[in-house]
Amino acid sequence: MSANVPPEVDAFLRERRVAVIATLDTDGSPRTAPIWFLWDPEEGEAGAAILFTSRKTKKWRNLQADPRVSLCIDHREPPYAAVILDGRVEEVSGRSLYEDVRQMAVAYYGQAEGEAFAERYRGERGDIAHFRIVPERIVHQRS
Amino acid sequence: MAMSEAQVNELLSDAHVSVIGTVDAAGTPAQSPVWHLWRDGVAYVLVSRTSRKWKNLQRNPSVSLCVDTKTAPYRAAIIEGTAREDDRDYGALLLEIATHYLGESRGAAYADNSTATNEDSVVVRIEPKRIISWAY
Repeated sequence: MSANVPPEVDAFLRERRVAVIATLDTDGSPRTAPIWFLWDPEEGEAGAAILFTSRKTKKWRNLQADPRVSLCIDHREPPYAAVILDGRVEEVSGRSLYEDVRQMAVAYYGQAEGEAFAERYRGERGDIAHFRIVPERIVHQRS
Repeated sequence: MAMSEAQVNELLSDAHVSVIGTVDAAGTPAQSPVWHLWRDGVAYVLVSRTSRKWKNLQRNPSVSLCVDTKTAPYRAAIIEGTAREDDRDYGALLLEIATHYLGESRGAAYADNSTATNEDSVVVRIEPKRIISWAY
């Protein structure tokens, strides 16, 4: 069941920010890591965060064992604001990894460096997990 | 690319809003942004006793604190460790943290406006078991 996404949350998620992803280690401990994401309001029923990572990473191995995940997107200058998406990860289908990576890389690294970074993601990249988080719960904090 | 110990210390000592990860009763990961203070190899975080993160930490003290830059050059240090209540005075630490993040005058005003004490709030001490870092 996907959560309803209020317009102000949708707007916040479309701005460029590095997110923090939390997964569960096999011993049940939390594990956090910064991660790039792209908010696609057209993905799923009510929008989803699109992400990618190497299948070798600890976070991906954790998510294979337990797909429950939290994504925290926060604005770090006063007035502080944050959106926290809780849900489960699912691999995506029918999306271009290259196009998604290019969009993220350009947003985070700038046009030239981003385009160059994305080149490595053309064609078959079986070693990369391309996934989405459909939020089941959304917390919006403002101070 | 991993960072040197000095770079990690510098990143943790800077006033970056960090994200604390805990695990709730159902075993689901939960996160929220927090201020932290890095002192002598320990991270201090202030939470309300009624907060979800403190409820989670009382049940399961495993914690992950992500300290990262949000603009290039991108740097991250992740503290994995155990949280427990510290007996430092809440008000004193709040003033120290607020000043660290907001500057002298705004920090003092922020702390002045707070009525929180150790009764209703907790100084959480996070002792690292491991710190993972990278620059990207």
